[in-house]
Amino acid sequence: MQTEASWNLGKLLTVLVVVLTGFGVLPLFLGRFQVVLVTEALILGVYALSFDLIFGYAGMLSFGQSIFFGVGAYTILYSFKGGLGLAVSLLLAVFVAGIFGLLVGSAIVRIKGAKFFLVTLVGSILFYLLALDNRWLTGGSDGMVVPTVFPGLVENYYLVLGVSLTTILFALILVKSPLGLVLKMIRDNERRAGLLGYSLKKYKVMTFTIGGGIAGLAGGLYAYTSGFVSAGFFHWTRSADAVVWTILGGAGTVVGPFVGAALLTVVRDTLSAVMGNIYPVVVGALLVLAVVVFPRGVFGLLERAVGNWKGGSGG
Amino acid sequence: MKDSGTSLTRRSLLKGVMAGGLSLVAGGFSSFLGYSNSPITIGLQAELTGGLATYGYWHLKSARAAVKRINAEGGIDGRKVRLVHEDTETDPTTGSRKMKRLILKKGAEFVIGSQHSGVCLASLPVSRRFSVPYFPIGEATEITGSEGHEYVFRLNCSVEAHAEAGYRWIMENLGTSWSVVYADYAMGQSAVEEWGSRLETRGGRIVGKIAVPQGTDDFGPYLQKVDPEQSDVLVIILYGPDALACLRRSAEMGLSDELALFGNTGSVEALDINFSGAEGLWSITNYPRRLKGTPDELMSVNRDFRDMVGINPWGRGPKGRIVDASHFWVPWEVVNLLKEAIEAVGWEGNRDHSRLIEYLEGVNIPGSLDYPQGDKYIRGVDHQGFHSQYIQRVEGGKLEIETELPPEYSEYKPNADQ
Amino acid sequence: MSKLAFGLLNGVAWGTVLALLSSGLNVVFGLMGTVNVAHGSLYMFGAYLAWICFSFLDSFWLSLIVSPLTVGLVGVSIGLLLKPVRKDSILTVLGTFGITLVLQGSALVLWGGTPRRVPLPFDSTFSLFGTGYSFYRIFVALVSGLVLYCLWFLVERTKFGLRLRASREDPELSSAIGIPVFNLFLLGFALGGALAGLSGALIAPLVSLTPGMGLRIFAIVFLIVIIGGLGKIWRSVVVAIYFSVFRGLASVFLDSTKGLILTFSLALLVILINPRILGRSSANANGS
Repeated sequence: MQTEASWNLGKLLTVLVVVLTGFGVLPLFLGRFQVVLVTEALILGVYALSFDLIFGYAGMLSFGQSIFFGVGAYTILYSFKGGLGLAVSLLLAVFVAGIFGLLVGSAIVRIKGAKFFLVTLVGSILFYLLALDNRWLTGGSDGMVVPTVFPGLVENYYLVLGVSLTTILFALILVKSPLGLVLKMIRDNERRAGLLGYSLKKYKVMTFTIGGGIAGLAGGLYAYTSGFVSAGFFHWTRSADAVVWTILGGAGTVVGPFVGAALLTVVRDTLSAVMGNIYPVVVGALLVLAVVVFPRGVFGLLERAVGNWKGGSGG
Repeated sequence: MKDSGTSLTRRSLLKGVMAGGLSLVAGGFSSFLGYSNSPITIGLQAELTGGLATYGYWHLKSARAAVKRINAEGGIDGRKVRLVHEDTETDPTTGSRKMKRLILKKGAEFVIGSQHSGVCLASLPVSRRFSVPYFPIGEATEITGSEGHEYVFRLNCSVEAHAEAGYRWIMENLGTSWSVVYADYAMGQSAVEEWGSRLETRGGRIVGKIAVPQGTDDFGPYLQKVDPEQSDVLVIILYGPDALACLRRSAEMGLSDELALFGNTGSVEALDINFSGAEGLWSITNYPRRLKGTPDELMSVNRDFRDMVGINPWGRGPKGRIVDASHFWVPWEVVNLLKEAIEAVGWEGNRDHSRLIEYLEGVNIPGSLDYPQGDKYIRGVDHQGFHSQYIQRVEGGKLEIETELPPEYSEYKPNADQ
Repeated sequence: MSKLAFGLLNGVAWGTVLALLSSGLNVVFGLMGTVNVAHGSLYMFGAYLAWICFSFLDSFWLSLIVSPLTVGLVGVSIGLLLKPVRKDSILTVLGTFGITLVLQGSALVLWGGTPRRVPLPFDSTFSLFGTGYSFYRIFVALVSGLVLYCLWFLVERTKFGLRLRASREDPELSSAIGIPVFNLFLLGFALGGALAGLSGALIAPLVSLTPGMGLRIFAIVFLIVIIGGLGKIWRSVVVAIYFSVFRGLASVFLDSTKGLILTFSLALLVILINPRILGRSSANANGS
């Protein structure tokens, strides 16, 4: 045990050093806009990861991540307006979005399968409508400018890189922890986990809270780096983005969501310059392809993630 | 910015020396050192896809036509103009990223902005961060109000300017008791505040304010709240599909027979109004859709202007596309205004922005082929432009101009201190 | 008082069309256990076909045949495409969501974002509590009611319906006794598509057409199906009418977006408080 653990640690450290160096020197090779793009991709990767924890690890297909993304973004806005610093504001964003995750999660964890998808979808529609309706608070569909002076692009990049790596590390520890193992058991075989005496509800709510907090962190970073927020941050299509990135990148892995977010951000940016209309068609087709052609192959992990939903025989 | 495409490779140096030789004679020594032959890059942030794609299509054509004309006539200060554009997809998040793309990747030194207020607001911090003059087209009052900053200029009317010019005309001509149907999101919400508060301070009365959520299919329950006996006018503050749906239902319900209908700019903009429900609708616009409505003194320049952009005298372009008459002229005029300002202050690069901004503050712009919409001025204090607006009416399926409201009509109290 | 009465009748008229639209989703979801997220986009497609029939073939009425047929075929193709994953509710959600993106995106590429309009096929109106009301709305409600009745008859009273339900209740047993489950699956998709196409065509003269119209209505339709109970056509008709009356009345008394918020919140509450309302499929779909 001792040697295996230290070997794992050694491997982890090596990977970490390589990744750190790679991403650390990256801005030297990129144009200024590419730095912006990579920064955005990292933030969206954090966001997609928050969905992956809920779906890929705990098996809940949530279309409600945008709720927490929006809450995090608006927390940053008001925290800055209140004169708080960046670090405190980001922590606050995690905290507030986590509370929302806890509340929303407690309300909906008993719902399962396709209905869980519907309930979370309607949930994010509801939050979007609330944001539209309360323009005094949110600026409505036009949004509000975040009162902050942008730091340099490269400083931004390193900040976001630091936060992303911390989140990845946290997620890696989480999924290897006893909680993570229980979640996997729930995902793979909910009935057995229940029979073994695990309170499924408690673990699912816990995941939803953590996922909410991380989505809030992403929303906060997004608001900070782009300098504005709007009701659109709550829109369910933003939830759908996280779903698509995660599925295409690889659900049930920590790095997959980042790969998906990065790839699709670049694809979207490139396609938009060539033929703007075509992106949704391409992404939709990729999604169908992923679901139909690779349900057991490349995306086998995804398959396992949803194993517990398969009819009565899934048990 | 440092890297706006001016790095001296050997070839560009050579070209620079040759062109510099010419400009030594014409433009003096300084241009030879840095910028002489490099083109001036103007960015256009347009809605080419998404909800406002009809607008963006024309904005791109308008900007292209202006640049083509300037380049054909020798450029600005002897330098060619390069137009770069990006599609915002009618989404603030994307729009803000595209603004960065225009500036950081494509080297835009000026950006003509989007029609979408949310995109404009999201782009304001970017314009400030990179010190790039920004000319948004979106109509939200905040853009040159509470959120405006020194790099932001808006040539066209804001929501508040429409209200300022329009409410008096309605009170004097259609009636003082209004029912208002409005889009229940930021544009409609702020417009209803501007129109309503003005009406009420002048002794008019809002009989009912009816908010309609975005994308409503069934207008019945909402229009049913309109009280035709108490009100003289039904003011419609809706956009695109919602405006169409509302007009059709109010005709069906017989409201159009009992009340005068008045629409905001967005209720007819770029829409086909040749259907029975739209008949008799009054509305306010920045610019006549049909050439026929243009003031006589501007008739001939507007004929040329429309030719160059590709719009026929009835306000239609290729494949019968209807022009967004209220806004499509803005990119054309901004490009020409930039030419005027750059040549006037001897702008050579981004370090001269402050002189250019100073020139634009309070500038008077006479109607001409450069500025076909007509006379206008930019107010120094908040960088908001004021120009004539028109009251039009749908008659026999066509938009007929009824009256012109001069620029002073629109001037509202500035709500920014810069 | 007349406002209430108007709201009630108008709500019933709209509710019937909404019910027709939800019945299509219900056939696929309730009877086959498959969630077709693309149902809204199929409806959008049907509405655009009506616009095409009107503008290029000069006949709106033609679309009442063309739309259901064409969209039914699209439904079949979706069914064929999703054949490998048809037993997995989550993968079908994701797959049909992908198809939604493709359909909506294609509509945008093909027909642009400009709102399209189909004029009312007949102009005449009558006075309903003091306000004009188009006969076409009554026509739409009647047609929807008729089609719903036929559908009910098909599902509850015919051999086809029996097979459909049997294959839903126990796919393995059904195949064992020789009912071709997969063909029924395709037929269900065809029927669902045809219903979506017909609803789209019927409603086209009453609304502005945009590529996003389908996704917008999808959540509402899905809520109706779930609250009404899966596979229960008449109950979802009642819920659809109730929903649309409630939404209409809420907008009479409450500021609009607030009315919408109230409607959605109540619907969510119903689902959250009483999961048994989710009907028999919840027992089938989650394995616990």
